[in-house]
Amino acid sequence: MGTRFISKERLKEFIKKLEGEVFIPQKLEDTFRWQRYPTEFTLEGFRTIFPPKYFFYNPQEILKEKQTNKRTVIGIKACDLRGILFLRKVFKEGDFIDPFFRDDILIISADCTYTEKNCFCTLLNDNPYPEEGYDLNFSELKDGYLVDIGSERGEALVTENEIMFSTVDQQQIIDRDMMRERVIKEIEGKKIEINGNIDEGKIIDYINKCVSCSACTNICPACFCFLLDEKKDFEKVRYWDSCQYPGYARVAGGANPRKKLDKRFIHRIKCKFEYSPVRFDSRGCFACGRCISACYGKINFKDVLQSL
Amino acid sequence: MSYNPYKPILSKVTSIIDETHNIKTFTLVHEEEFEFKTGQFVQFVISEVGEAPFTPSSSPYVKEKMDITIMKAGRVTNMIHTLKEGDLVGIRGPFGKGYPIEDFYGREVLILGGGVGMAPLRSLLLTLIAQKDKFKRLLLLYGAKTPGDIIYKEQFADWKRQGVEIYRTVDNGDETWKEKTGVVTVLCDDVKVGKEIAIVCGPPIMMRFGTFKLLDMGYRPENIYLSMEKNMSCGIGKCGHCALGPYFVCKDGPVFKYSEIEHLEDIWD
Ligand code: SF4
Ligand code: FES
Repeated sequence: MGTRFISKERLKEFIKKLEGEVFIPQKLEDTFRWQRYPTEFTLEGFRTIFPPKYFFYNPQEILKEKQTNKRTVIGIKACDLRGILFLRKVFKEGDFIDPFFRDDILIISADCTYTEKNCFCTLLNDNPYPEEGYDLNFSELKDGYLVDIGSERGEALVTENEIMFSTVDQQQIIDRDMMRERVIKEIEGKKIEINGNIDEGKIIDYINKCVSCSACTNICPACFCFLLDEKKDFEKVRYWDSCQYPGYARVAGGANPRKKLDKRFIHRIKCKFEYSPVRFDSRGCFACGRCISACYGKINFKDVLQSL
Repeated sequence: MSYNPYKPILSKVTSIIDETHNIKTFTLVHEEEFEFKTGQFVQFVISEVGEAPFTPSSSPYVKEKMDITIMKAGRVTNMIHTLKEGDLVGIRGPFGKGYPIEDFYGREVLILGGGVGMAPLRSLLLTLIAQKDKFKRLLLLYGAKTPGDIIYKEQFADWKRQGVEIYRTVDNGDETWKEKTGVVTVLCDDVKVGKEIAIVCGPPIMMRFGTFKLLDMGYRPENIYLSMEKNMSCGIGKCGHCALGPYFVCKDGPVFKYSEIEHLEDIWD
């Protein structure tokens, strides 16, 4: 579908043209946070503090037909985009389709231009730049962005605003390739390979630090579990749930196969690396490293995976 | 908006039968058309309280009403037990895969049931009886705690008349009890079988010992069908609650061949 160039100045104009709500990262200290129409925004750096999952899958919502605003999310990084594509498989494929997970959101992703200490996508052989699933993808260069068109919707948007975009020269492509190579090299460490049985002994010291708070699953861009609650007139509300809560897997008779901490912790690893590939033809971890920053027990999930 | 799988249809409770001191059968008449295959489950919804999964106990060929047999086991089922005739409840579903009846054609089918596990098995039995000429032989081995805990008491005689070979046992008999005593597996020693198809449904402990007994007798893992109870919630393979290894019981089950799950951890918990 092609690649264009847009200057930094023109990007601001382009964003003003977008209909509905627009969310973009804003840099605060050394972190990135989602803001609605910020005056200052950025596409640099790495993933935001909270995953964009929130825009697609509401943490608490009434499951009935409702009006939604048009929505664009700009600056989604590669790991998070993979998370969204994974969630889309969960909610939008199979015999039943979930009508409440949003797949109407315009997705404008962006390459990572540098990483943070907990990022580990390349250790799972993923790249720090989006490869599929976006409407448009932005790769930051010195004076502007290369814009990859990834869908008809993206194409239409560029065509409507043709005047803001210019053609791309070979040097810009080379510059981008160099930037991507540089970012890939920033992440170092042992590659993660999880296959077959998980040897609990190797990670028991990590497991014992878990306090079952669910911070990791809530902040995960790919965790999808939820709980239903019954309201008046047969209306339902759903809340994000977590397999790390002790009561999560309990059945009516009181039996609970994952009452023990180690079982729950290992279930999380298996869900992501063993079961999701069978269920959804995709791994369920995209190495964003948020669970490492969020963990109350200071468990480094990357180290856990590397020890297996 | 597209079809909302979280929204139940409305259904009226038209009769309630006390089966035992803690088990009741509710007959429901739906306000919309509703069909299910035997072995599939539904979510029984009480407004403002919650919902719980059950496999209907009536024949899937009867479309105008549906029976669900429910044991008191927690918050939602306690509430269901307070329902009265005329009350409106919600039904979502049907969910999951039922019993692959066609695969049983031409073969001997042995059903091993315990306690309230007889509820889904009644639906299965009625389905099999409706086409009984298609099967080589139908056997039902049923166990309950005491004679008072046997559900569908009035119906066994009729099933017998229809050609089902029936054997029953209770853990603890009383002076009226003339049949076997002991756990349900003791019945397995009384029957001469061709070891073709076996179907097990009951409390977890009974499922476990029942399955092991069948394997001992020479049944093959791929011919033993188990109806698994997991914490089903959404019913549509999205919420994650019913995970059993890589499966979601709500969509890949609730009926599994033992061979599909024997290698998984914790299947009996
Ligand atoms: S964030 Fe850490 S302590 Fe909390 S549930 Fe996850 S692993 Fe356990
Ligand atoms: S009940 Fe929700 S995934 Fe099975």
